[in-house]
Amino acid sequence: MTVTIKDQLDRIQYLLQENTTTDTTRRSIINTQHQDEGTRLSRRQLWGEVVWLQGLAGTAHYALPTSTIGVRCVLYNETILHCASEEMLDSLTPGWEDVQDEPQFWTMDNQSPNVIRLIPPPLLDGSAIPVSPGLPMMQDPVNNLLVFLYEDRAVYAIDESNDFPLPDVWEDVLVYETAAELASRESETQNFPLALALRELGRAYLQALGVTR
Amino acid sequence: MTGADLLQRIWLKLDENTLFYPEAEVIVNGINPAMRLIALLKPDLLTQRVAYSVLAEQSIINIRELAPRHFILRRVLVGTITGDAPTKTAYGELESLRYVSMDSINAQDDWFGQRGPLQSYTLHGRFLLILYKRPEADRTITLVFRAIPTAFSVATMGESPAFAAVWHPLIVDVATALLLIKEGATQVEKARSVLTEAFGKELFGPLGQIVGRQQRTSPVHVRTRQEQAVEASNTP
Repeated sequence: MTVTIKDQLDRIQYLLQENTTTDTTRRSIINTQHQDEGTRLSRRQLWGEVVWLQGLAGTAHYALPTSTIGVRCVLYNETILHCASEEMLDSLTPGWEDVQDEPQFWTMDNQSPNVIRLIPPPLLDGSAIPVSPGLPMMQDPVNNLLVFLYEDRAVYAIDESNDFPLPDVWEDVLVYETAAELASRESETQNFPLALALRELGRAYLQALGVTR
Repeated sequence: MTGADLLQRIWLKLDENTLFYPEAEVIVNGINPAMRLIALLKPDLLTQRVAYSVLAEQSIINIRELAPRHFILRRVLVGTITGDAPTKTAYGELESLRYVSMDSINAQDDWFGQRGPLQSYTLHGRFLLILYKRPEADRTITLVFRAIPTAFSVATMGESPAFAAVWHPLIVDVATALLLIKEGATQVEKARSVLTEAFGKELFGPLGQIVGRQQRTSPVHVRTRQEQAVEASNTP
């Protein structure tokens, strides 16, 4: 059974005793809160992804997906690049901006959000032609980049028709956290006992899943 | 018990209040989360195995697609152990892979480019399994994992939960407790004691203690509190 975002919102409205409400604005508010809770969960760096980027000769800057939460490691030409701060590079290789060689480091210091800089930039263009049989991925890793990153999967949960973008066991956590937030809001329908119980339940789920606050 | 039997038992506990607790709600906010909570807090109840054919050069496997109901990966093994008798790979292998951290693997600069017999595995996030080294030929591996049971829907209520029958009354108790929570403070207290009894530990403390830590802040409650304070100060 595939769970959709609609199913999640229905569950939340049952908990808030709003299941007979047809107010689309309210539904939209609940959906927004559900996305926010999804992003909050994602910021714990739980959802790994591997992104392929084409290496380009002389290009030092590479943009990662906007859903990137953090970068775990970067591989160029199937080899690990070391993460470095600008201070480290200054002390290690004075004039590092001008070095001509194969990439050895990557940094996010002084870059735009979700942009990494390779030091030095690649000397060769990587191939963008998909490889057969497409393993470990469809694109060739030779002279290209593989970025192991953590992503915000809430970006896949925007529309009610979207499938729930996480493993099934996380459904309840998001329902409880979202309903708890909505039930605790300052309004005439505030239901503090419900909010507190749901928060504690959400915490129990997270503890069982090995996620600590 | 089937899903329909569970539903009837829960309705009896809820004083047959089928209007306030329609079938769909009992399933999605009662039975299904109760089964998941039981599986999480008693993880030995449901362990599953799935065999997977790893192709040559493949090193990244999405467990979410392979085993969507897993929540703890316990073991990865080269070979097949899903049947009565274990089956070795075409290369005579039948052995568990060692779990290593991503940091350990990253300590070797060229780990991704290394090819050879499978030695170990790691996880990137919660559902990307990474094999080390990259296999040079096709292999079959088996994943052993803790799982949550298949969720019920209105159309599948004739089926039975994945747990042994002895645990079915527990599903009824936990589901009833989870459903009662929406009714407010008194029922939350009742749910708390049922859940504590069910799991042998407190999932959350008495509501009075929690509420005491976090005072209500809605305008209505603040106003009421201020009025009560004024009244109290005016009382001789």
